[in-house]
Amino acid sequence: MLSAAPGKKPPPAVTMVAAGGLLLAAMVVAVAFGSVRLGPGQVFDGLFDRGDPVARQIVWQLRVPRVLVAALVGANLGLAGVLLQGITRNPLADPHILGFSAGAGLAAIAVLVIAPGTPVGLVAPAAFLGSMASAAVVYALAWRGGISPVRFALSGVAVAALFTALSTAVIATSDLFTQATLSFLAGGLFGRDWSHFEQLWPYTVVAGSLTLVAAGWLNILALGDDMARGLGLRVERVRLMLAVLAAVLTGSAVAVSGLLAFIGLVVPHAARLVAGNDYRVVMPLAAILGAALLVVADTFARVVLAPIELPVGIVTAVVGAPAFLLLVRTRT
Amino acid sequence: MSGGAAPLLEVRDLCVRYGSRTAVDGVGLQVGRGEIVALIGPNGSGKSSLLRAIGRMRKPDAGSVRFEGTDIWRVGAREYARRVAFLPQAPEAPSDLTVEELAWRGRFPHRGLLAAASKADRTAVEGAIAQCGLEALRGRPLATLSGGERQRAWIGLALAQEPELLLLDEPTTFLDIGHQQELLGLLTRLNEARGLTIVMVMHDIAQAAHVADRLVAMQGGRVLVDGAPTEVVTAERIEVLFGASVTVLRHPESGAPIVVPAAFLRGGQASRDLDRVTSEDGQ
Amino acid sequence: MHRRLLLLLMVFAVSAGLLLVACGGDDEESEGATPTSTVGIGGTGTPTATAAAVYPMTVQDRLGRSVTIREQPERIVAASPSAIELLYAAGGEAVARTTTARVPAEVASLPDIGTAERPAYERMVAQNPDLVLADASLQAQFAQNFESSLAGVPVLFVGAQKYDDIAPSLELIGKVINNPEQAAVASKAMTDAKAQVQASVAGKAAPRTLILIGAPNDPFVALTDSFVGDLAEVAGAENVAAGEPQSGPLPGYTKLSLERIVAADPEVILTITAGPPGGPSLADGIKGNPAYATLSAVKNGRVHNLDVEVFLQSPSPRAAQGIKDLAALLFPAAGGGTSTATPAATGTATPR
Repeated sequence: MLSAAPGKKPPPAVTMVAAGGLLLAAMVVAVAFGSVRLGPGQVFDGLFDRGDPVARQIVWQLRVPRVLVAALVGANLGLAGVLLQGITRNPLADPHILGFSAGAGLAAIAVLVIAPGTPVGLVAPAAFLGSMASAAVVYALAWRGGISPVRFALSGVAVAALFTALSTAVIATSDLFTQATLSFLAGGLFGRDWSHFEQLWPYTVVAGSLTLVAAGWLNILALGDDMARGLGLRVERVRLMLAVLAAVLTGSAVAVSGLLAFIGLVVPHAARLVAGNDYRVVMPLAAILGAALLVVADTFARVVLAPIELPVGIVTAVVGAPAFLLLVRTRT
Repeated sequence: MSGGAAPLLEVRDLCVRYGSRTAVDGVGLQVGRGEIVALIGPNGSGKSSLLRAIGRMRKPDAGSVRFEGTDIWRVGAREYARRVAFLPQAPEAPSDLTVEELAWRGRFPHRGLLAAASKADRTAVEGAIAQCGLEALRGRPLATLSGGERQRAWIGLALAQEPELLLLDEPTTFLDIGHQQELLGLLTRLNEARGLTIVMVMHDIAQAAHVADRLVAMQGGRVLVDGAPTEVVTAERIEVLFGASVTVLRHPESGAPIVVPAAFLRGGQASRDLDRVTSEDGQ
Repeated sequence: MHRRLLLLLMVFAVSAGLLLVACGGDDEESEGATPTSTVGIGGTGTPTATAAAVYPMTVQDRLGRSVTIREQPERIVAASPSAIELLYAAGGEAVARTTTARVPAEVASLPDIGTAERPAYERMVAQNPDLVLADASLQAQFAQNFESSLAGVPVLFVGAQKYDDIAPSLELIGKVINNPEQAAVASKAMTDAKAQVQASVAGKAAPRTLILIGAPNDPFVALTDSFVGDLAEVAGAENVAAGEPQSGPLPGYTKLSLERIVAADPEVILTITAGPPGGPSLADGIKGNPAYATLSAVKNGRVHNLDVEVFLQSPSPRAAQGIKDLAALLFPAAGGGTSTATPAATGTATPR
């Protein structure tokens, strides 16, 4: 099979095991630490939903679901980033820059404006639909007898700018109680619980597995449209399916976490720097790295100034940027 | 080698339009099994568009392309890719992709998306690497290869597809003379050893005449002349095709025609004409 | 290039180190917050023999939610500065406070549960509370969140968006903690203060008033439905921004162009400085800004800085003194109650 290149790239199996170990370690630390100090025994018991009721509530009802939600959101955004960078063959593409999340934001705000009393739980499906709709708009705008990657990227940037501006305009001119909207726009994982986990995991599992199938297509798409056609790939159809997949991953994540930039942009690069060019390795690796990054960032956000909680979007950049720079320096 | 009644490839009344511009205008063409056919002509003559239509890159606006008697749009894309390989003029790839990884990409039309590599896959890839002389380069990223090595690597991918027909768009354009020779030698060997049928667009008439069994000269989207190199390459036809005044010589060993500009004799007239032709085409 | 990157990494490392130090210190301090220290401090609003409240009791909180309290609350967590002030005024005591809560002074020693905007639920849980007082204006969006995170602990939303909300919140808390007497006293103080202020300003020409909050270069203007706007109205001000639409994102506030402000020519400008304590006040910024120089309020020296806690961050019974001070600022000659000449002495207005 695909033997790894000699030299800098480790074999895929080693990479995956290492990354999986990293994620596991991050999740253990994330569950073990919080604004309340618990002993290892309490944490361990809490993981099985037993023992001291306070520790159990903290570990099993507060930390575990939040850590899991962070992992799923991070994985979704990482995968969506890989897909979009692959479709557009543009290293700067990500769900945020291409307007997928801006659509989610606008939809969430629109719902709160039209029906201010909407429970927060109903904002999530709206955000999901908004993400899908903006993906459709970007796609339609880029279509002219076919999708050119450049046109796709440029349409995305334009739609992102437009939707963001519309969101701002709606907020500025409405007199709704905007606390919920604002926290959605800022993004974060504060107060995420089991219900959010239950809402998100089916998307991650289903769409995530499909990305593994898609990885083979992306490998071929990376050779250019002509070569891909020559190899029997139905380029337009595949690109559409991949875009839908990216929109589902983004929409489901954004619906739970609000708008979080950076992960979708940087994680795919990190995965490629580590694993090379085979999307069958890059794809699962990006999911794991995205999950690990958000879990670590969220733990930082909760613990560093505890009990004050930092906005996780900022922490993601603070934690992720140095790690990424290090990677860039050592791997390129 | 020419196999039986039905030609391997048959193009009938083919038209390809881009907007209001007609790139290919009612072309008919037959290619027999084992032939090497070179498409020549000035820029914008439609030779690349014809090749792309044959490669199933684009649906024809009229007419048909048949492979072994069947319209190529009536077979699936993957199925066609198992029999016909297409190499664009300047293919792109991630720079850190290795030669061997690239060759494996050629197995895509043969494999299920999640299927593990089969013995046949391995044999095909190893065969392609060996035939293209890529053994020593297999672990090298494409970015570290010379132009000639890289072109061989791409042909390795095409061979891993195990095609019966190989389509190439100006395969020697970016190569120096040594690598051009090496590449054409490789193509000739593949043709002789595997009976691989080759249709390629070529820029250099002398090279085309040297390597091809048949030349198809195109102009304005039509086939001007289709025949053996010695028939096609005459001073009059080159004048008509390219608006260039040339002298046609013979290769002292093979007897293949060699085109030399007559412009050396008549000042700058021919090169001015050439400029005019190319700027009008502007594709 | 290499050196610059090293420098960058060092900056990151140093800042990360600082954060860790800050974190470590905090952890140590919060050691008392661990579930081991569960010695019940108990409410001083202890049950008296006189008015025996009946538990379990079900009440409507300030969000209209139905809340059932099974037993007399002994361990109360107040999740905002406003909630904690209301609780103490109603005769209760808390076992934990939010980061910025400092009134009454004794709460400073309580374990910290983070900010009202993003409270650390696990610290609340660790306090083993039997009642959580949440903030009806800051935390309404977290209603479900509080319930799912606190595992069956009753969550009562209290707080005030306007002056008249304070008394009902006090009474509600008094009822729930079984100390209705003190709550009634506190509640009556609120209504008395309002009646007194309104009587003192009755019949006087309401001064055109502009209320600014934020940074000098781009402040927000308080509308009448903001807390400070309501207090000013109670104290007899005519808000020059009344009827303006909100600009977002802050509910109850808007942006007004300087032209509109100049045209309205306010006689009094009230400012709330939303910056770090000890920094320059918004009032000083306004006085020193040539753009505002033509306004009557500036020319007549009637630009006053208001206390950020009382008028913005922590709507509480301190608003009773707040409206008296406001009346004194708005009607200086006649006097607006007890603290006539020197509102600074009362502490709610800080003319600095």
